[in-house]
Parts: sequence; C-alpha cells; structure tokens
Amino acid sequence: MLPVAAYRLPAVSKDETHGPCPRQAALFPEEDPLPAHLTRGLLAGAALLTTALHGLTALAAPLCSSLPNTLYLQVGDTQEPLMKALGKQLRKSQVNPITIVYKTSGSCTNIDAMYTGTKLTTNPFYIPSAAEDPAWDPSKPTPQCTVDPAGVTLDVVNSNVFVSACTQTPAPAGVGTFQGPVQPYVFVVPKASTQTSITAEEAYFVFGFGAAGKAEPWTDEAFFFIRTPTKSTLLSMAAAIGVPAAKWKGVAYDKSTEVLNAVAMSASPEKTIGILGAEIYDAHRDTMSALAYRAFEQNHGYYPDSRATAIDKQNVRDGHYTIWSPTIYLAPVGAQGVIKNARARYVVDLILARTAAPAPDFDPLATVISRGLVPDCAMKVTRSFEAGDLSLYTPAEPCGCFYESKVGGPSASCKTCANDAACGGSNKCRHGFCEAH
Amino acid sequence: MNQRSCVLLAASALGAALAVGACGGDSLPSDAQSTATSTTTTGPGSSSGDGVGGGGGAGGSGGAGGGAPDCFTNPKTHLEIINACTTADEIDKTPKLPLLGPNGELPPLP
Repeated sequence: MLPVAAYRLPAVSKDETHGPCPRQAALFPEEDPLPAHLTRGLLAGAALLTTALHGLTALAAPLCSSLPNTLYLQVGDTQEPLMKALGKQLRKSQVNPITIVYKTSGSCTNIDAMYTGTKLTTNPFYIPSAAEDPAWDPSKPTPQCTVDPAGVTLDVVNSNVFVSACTQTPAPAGVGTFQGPVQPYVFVVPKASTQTSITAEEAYFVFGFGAAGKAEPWTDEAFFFIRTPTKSTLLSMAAAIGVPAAKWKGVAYDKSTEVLNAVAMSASPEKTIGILGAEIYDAHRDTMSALAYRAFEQNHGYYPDSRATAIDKQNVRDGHYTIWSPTIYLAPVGAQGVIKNARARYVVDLILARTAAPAPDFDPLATVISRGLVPDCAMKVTRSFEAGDLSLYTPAEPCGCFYESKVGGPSASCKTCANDAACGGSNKCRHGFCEAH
Repeated sequence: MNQRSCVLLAASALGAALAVGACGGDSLPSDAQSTATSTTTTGPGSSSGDGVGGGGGAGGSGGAGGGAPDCFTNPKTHLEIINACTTADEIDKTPKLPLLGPNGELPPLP
C-alpha cells in the first residue's frame, strides 16, 4: 500500500514534481561513472526516441475538426460517465450521429467560460466510433483529439450546482440555462473504516475547524480528501453544512479520481473521510463506503439510497437525503430561449428527458439513470438554490415507476402498460409504465 | 390570554394532532395538514453511538403523550419533508462535539 502522502498535492511542491532535483544532480557525478562520449551518445539517442514518440502520439490523436458532427462541451468531471455513455450511443446513432468532444473542469470555471465566451484551447477528449476504436467502451479512458490552436467555441457547458452558487451575475443575453437531472454527493470513508454516518454538526466541525474541531475520529486534516473550491462536489457540500468552500480544511484535489484513490488507499482508514459525486462512489463501492447524513434539524441520518447496499436514490427523490444539486446546462440561445446549435439542442433535450427530434434510436432516460443521476421526472421534491429548503414537487411528466424499474424494481403500485388506454383515468403510459397525468 | 391558558391550548392541539396520527394519516386528503407521528426511542440525543433503525411506516404509532414528533406522514414543509415517515434505513448517531454550544449552537468558523 502506498503511503497517503504520495497523493497529497499540496505537500508536493512544483519544484519537487517538475523542476530539477538538486539532490539527484549532486549525486550523478559520483554515481554515474560512464565516459563522457558514451553519456552524450545515450542522451542523443534518448532525444531521438522522445521525438519519435511525440510524432507517434501526434499521429494517433486526430484533429478534432476532422471528426464528424462534433459537439464541444465543457463539463464537471462528475458528468464524465454520462458523457461517455451518452456519447457512445450518439456516435453510433443511425438517426442523428453526433461526436461528443468534451473537456472536464470545475462548475464555476465552466459557467465563466460560457459567460465570457472563453474558447476551448487544450486538447479535449472525444468519443470514438467503433471503426476508430472497436474495443472502446465507457469504462475505458477516452482518447484525445488535437484542437485548433486558435481555440474552438464551446457549444454547451455544464455546472453541477445552481449557477447562483458560483456567481450572482445573471447569465448574459444570449446564454440560456437549463436544469437537468439531479446529482447527489456523498461523504465517503475507506471500506476498512468503522464509521457509518455523519451529522451536519459533525461535518461543520470536521471541515470548518479541522483538528481544532475535535470531532473524532476525523481530527487529522491530512486525511480529509476534498475538492478545490470551484468544484460542484465541494460547493454543494459546503452549502449543506454551512462551511464556505474557501474555508474547508483538508487536502484539495482537482479530480474526483484523485479523491477516490486517496480514500481507497489511505494508510489510516479510520481517520479518513472524502467527498465524491454519488455516481463515482456507486462505481467504486468495493473500496469505500458512503456515510449516512443527518441534516440540520433532521431526526435521523439517511443514505442517498434506501439502505447502504441499495442503489435506488430513494432518499434523494423524497427529500430524506439533502445533499444534492441539479445539473445545469448552459448554451447560446436565440429567440424564445431556444438553443441555437441544433446538435446542442438535441443533446440537451436528451439529457433533460425532453422530446427530441428526430426520436433517438436509444433510450436517453435509461442512459441518464444508468449513470447515477436522478432525472427531474423522478423527483418528488425540489429546491431553488444551493442547499435551499425542500418543497414538494410534481414533475410535468412523471417517470417514477420507470426510474424504479431501472434501479432495482418498480414499487408494487406501478403498473406496466403498452398505451394510455391501459392506464385509465388521467394516467399516462410513459416508458412502459402508467405514470400520473 | 394568560400563560396557563396558552399551555393548555398547546397541549390540546398536540393531543389532537397525535390522535389524528393514530387514526392513519394516509387517509387524509392531500391538502390536509401534515400529521406528526411520535416515538420515544429515536431522535437526536436519544441514542448513543450509531445504529440502524427500521423505517417508521406511514401512519405508524401515534405515541402516547409528549415528545417531539419523530416523523410526519403527510409532509408539507421542509422540516416535515426531511423528517417524513419512511421505510428507508435510519441511522442514529450522537457524536461527541466538545465545541458545540449547550443548546446545540454552532460557534463561528475560525
């Protein structure tokens, strides 16, 4: 097992990671007895090899502009699983093939990019076709393409917190915001930890005070694995426990995968706690456990799911688990607030479970659910700002039974159907189930 | 209205609410007031350590006298929603927090 210090970004200085190493430089004259001409030859060979490898890499990465029907997105890394799953379906679609090209970044950074028209200038990832990479599936890393050096205009960006959690500035004219599926967040501990729950008050002392908070067993800030302050995971949890994002104690990581590794491989499991998007946790339940959470003024703690081993998000849907945010999509819009770019409009419609034309040749709602998100149509509660009070909610076109059918089985009251007539009354047949109105 | 009258009125209201809860909140129309269900074994400060409790079913025991309502069978407000009766696992915990104020108040962040 690697020591946890190996994963602590702040503990490793820039000089240590990228700069010359004085200690090594001092040792080389004593430890490298190679003749000077041989050393020069080896160095020249290494340089040639490096050049050749760079050339191969450049050949392997296609120009993003050469890919067909591209859509450029910048999303939070909690939405990467959705980009991959949806992207694979879209790339092979026979009715409206689209190549998803995406970059991951913090929610607030993404909002700012759309507000200011910041172009994509670093090489993004793209979803390959079966012809380009027959072995690729959403469980594998996505390949990169080479972006135009002048940059590319983003078609869609995503935030996984309310926009107001990042900025009070209203969206500029011509930018529309669209509320998508709900994203839950969780406190996680290593599998070896004995902890099963955390209260809002505890979390306030753990992350707001660190060691001084004396909230056992989480008193060593070196074992609090958190995210940087522009990330939705931190912003959502910060609002929930009342500790501003900038005041959180712990080791801040840029990527969810870094938190994942740090928690799973911690040398001190009982002292360790981290924060993740629930869908990231769901895919790694073998190495860590989510904590039940008791909000302020709540009588009991609850998991996002009905029980620790379930994956049904029952408590998110009905309001017992309160740490969640809607995913928000921002895109340039024209008159009547309609997204200008046809591909962007299509993809946003699919994610939001709206009617999209042409009708997709796959089930986008099932894809959204499979990535750990809760579609708006399956929610029974809502809120209007980050960590705001919950209120009862009835979606315009409920899909609760279909959702339940995808996460463990529909409840006894759910009835399958082939058409509206089979449902009777004012109920409608949606996705094979009789749903309200 | 004097203080004694206020206390009697509040006690009567609580008793009425508990009686409605005992009669089954599920049958209430959707626009009815929320129904509180009281238990005596759970809630903050009533247990020590962690524990998983079974969900209080809708329209469960109305409880016999006193105590804050543990769950609501027909929630309307935020507080009632987060404390609604549920079949989900409930995890109770009373952490030791030395910096927490005597009435549960949180000190300012450093």
